Order: sequence, then C-alpha cells, then structure tokens
Amino acid sequence: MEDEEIINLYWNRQEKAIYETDKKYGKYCTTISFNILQNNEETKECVNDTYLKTWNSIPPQRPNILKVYLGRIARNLAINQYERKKAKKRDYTLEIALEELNECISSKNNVEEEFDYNELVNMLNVFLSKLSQDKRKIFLERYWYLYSIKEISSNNKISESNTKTILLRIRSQLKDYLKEGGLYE
Amino acid sequence: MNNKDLLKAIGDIDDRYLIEEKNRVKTNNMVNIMKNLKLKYVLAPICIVFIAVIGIYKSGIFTSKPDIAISKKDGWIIKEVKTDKTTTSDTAILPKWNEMSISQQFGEVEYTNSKYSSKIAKISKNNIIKNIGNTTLTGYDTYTKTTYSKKGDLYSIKGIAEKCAIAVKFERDTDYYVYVNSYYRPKTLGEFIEVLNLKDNISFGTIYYNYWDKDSEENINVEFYDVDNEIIWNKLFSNLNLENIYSDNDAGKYTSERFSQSISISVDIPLLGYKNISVSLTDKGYMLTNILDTGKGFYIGEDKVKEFLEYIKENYDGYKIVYVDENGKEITDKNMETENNMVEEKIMMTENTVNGYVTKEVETDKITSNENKTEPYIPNN
Repeated sequence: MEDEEIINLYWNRQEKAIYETDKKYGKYCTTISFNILQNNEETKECVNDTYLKTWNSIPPQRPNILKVYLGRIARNLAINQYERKKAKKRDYTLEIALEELNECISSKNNVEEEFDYNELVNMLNVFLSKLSQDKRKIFLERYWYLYSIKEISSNNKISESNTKTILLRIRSQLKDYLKEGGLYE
Repeated sequence: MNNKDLLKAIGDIDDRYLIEEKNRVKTNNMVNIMKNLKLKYVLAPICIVFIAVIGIYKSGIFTSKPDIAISKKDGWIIKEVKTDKTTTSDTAILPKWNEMSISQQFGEVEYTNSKYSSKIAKISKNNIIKNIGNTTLTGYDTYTKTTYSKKGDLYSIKGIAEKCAIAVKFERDTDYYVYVNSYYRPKTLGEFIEVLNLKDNISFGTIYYNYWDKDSEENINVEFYDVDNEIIWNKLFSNLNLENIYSDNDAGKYTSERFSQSISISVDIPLLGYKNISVSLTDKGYMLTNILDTGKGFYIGEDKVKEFLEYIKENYDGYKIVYVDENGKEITDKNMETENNMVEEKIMMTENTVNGYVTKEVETDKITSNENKTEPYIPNN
C-alpha cells in the first residue's frame, strides 16, 4: 500500500492504518528500536508505542515521508525508554555512541549551557551535505540508526578498523565545524 | 550543549538524508519479534485481522457489484478475493525532479496569506471563472539540492470558494491545476456544503462496514455497492446547523475505546481531484471526513448512525469479503502468514452452474486506478 493511502487511513481513523504500517514498516521500526534497546521485550513495547504515537499524531500531522516519520518516533521513544530504564550498560551501542559524540563537543561545554538547538540542527544538515554519500551513510548508521561497528562494516563491506577510522575522522571534522560555526568556544 | 543534545539533534536532521537509497536500513534477524507482536492497546484485535493487499487493489475494484453471488452466510453474500504472494520493496523513495509533473514539482502556492497544496489534478477550462492574481511558485529538487521557480496565474473555480481551492496556470503551459487550502475549517456542515458546492460535486461510492464478531472472534468486512447517493445525502447531510467540532488534539475521542464497528463511505470529488477519500461514521455518533485533506467532524448522534446502518443493511446486499489463497483456502487472522510479504490481489468469483461451482478470475485490467500515476488526474467534465 502506498504511503499516501496509509496516511489517509489514519485520517479516516481506520484501524487498518496500523496494520498497514506494521506490514510495511514493522521491520524498519523494530530494527531501529532494537539497535538502541538490545532487548526483544522492550523493543516490542517500543514499536507498539511508536504505532500508538503515530495514531495519536496523524491527524493533524500529514508526514511527507512516512518511513522517516515513523523512524524518528521509534528512535526517540527508544532513546527515552533506554534513559528511563537506566540500563546504561557500557557495551550498549547507545552508550558507546554517546561517548564518541563527546569528542565532538568542547570539554568545557559538556555542561548545561544554553545553545540554539535549531541552529545546531541546521549546522548538522550543512555538515552532512558536505560529506560524501558513503561517509554520510556510515555516520548516520552509527549515530542515527545506532548500529554497531560490526554491523556498519558488514553493511558497507569494509573492515571494522576502517569503519572506526572513518567515524573518528568524521567526528573530528564535526568538532572543528561546530567550533568554527561558533556553537561553542 | 552535551552529547545527548547532539544525539538528539542528529535525530532531527533533514529527511532527505534518511531516504537516500544507500541509507536503506537493513533489517536483521529479529523478524521473530514480529511473530509475537501484539498491540497492547485496544486497537490490537482489530489491526491484526485485516488481510492487506496491494498492487491493483483500489476501491474501484469493489465499487462494482459482483455479477454473481456465491453463497450466503450470516445474512451476507460471500465475495472471495484471491491473494497471491509477491515481494516488493518497503523503501520510500522520492521521485526525481524530471519524473514529476509540473504541479508535483511546484506543490505549493500562497494566496491571500494561505498556503494551497497541489492536488496534482488538472481542471477543465470550463470550470474556471476568472483570474484572481499571479505569483511565482518555488519547487525544490532534494536530489540535486536545486531550487526552481516558475510564474503562474491564479484562477477561481466554478462553484468553489476561493478560500478552499483555486487553480494555477503556469507560464508557457495551457493547463489549469487544482490547489487546495488544507487548513480551511468550516464552522458548520452547511458552510462546508456551500463553499465546496458538495451537493453537485460529491459522489459516493462503496460503503465499507467493519465490525467485530464476538462469536467467531473475527473482524468482518462487508461492502455495500451502488447505494443511492440521495439516500446518503438526505440521511447524513440534512442538518446544516451541525457545528464542525473536529479538533486535531482530540482525534481519539471520536471512537469508542473498545472497537465495535465502523462505517466508511468512499467519496469522490472529481472537480478537485479527490478520489476514494472518506466520510466515516463512528460508533460514538460522529461523522468525520478528510475532504480538503484535514479533519472535519460533525456530531450527528449514535441513533442517526445506527439508523443509517440499519437502512443500508435492510435495503442493500452486503458482500462479506473473504480472502482465499491460491488453493481456495480461506485466510483468516488465525492462519495468516507472519512474514511481511506484499500480495497481489486477484478477484475470483464462483459461479453456480449446472455442473457445480466454477471459479473464474474477474478481469481487472479494465479497472482504472490513480495509484502510482505521475500524470495528473483529469476529471470527466
């Protein structure tokens, strides 16, 4: 079923919308959630919550790209759920990714300072536009989809050490870019 | 700013980076999770029971009454729908710039401080009243990151208030395209009917009745065809004073928490490029519609909904949809495939002949559909 039809089902308050969503994007949402939560039961709960939140938000929302809309909800819910349950296992991809992202911000700034969130998002968009498509894919697989290094290297058919090196360089570039952009000193 | 802020901000990047083909998310071996997926909320029993079909499935297939009845069960005429398995991609890919029609490329126009969205539908010159201005439209190619602009003249449409919809004719183009104001909200049903001249412009199609049968513990889908439009109009649209009470924030309040039934009427408004949108009636007495793309709702009362349903059931044949596989075995929620395979639908009808039952495939290649079309929908004027 086309996305537009699925969205119309939501607008018409037809419960079939959720079935169609699950049919088309269930695996996608599950993958995103599991990457973060690393737990089958919690992933199931998160995916269910994703559908409920989608049901409650359409209407009034009318997403341009349903897949991305769902993915974003699943990702945010999974991160929130992870935070709530305070698993914080050191080997969790999310924990490791957060530690890596620490490198991108000034050590002075790892505190609660005011910053312009929208400006940060804009800068990230510009930064990503300057990356090659391959490098952008690797960066997003790591920090949007939260794949492990092993999965990323398998997805992109490169070695794990190469993956790590690419990510290290991108993080370094990002740090310089954010600093040059005046987001922090 | 801390690392969590950065992680969150990465989550809000532009959609186009997430739909690049190379960024397709590979699913892993966790499909088993889906086998046990249950929705913990009250929607659960309903959502799982629907058998989904794609491809050539559109309401057009079901708007025509089958010529031959197969059998009757529980008062419904059984209509078997055969399904086959095919696989398809689940990736959402935006069309490229040169694959889009001009009204897709320039999908939005501003007029009197309101934004109008393209319906990707042409409108005949016979339905154009007068020029109401001109403007420059912009379009954005997400692949090449190029912004385009094109001048266009704006026109009013016969019988349609400008605050609801207008037409655009692009420079060096001879066609007129419909653009609607999705954010227009009528105050009353009467106003809604008037600004869109719904009495002349709307046509009703198949009525879909869906209910939970507690005896068989199944969700039942029934369709009614060729219902007299006057009946629908008189029964549902006669009270012009009904207020539009729909609120985006209360979308969940219009149906019961425990699903019992729903009624949905397929609606076409060819003048504005609408095909198979919906007017639905909820078990709590609301009439909801997405005409003009955003929600409108009118409380007509539970009794009115019940009365409408009873009238339809008494005066029209209801066709219960039963999905069967290639072996003719009925597919129910209990034995449904758990893999997320997309299916292609064929319509099989069983004819009772002197030699017994004969099953044949209904020709579906003559059925038209707007799905996947990049050409604008041209209404018959």
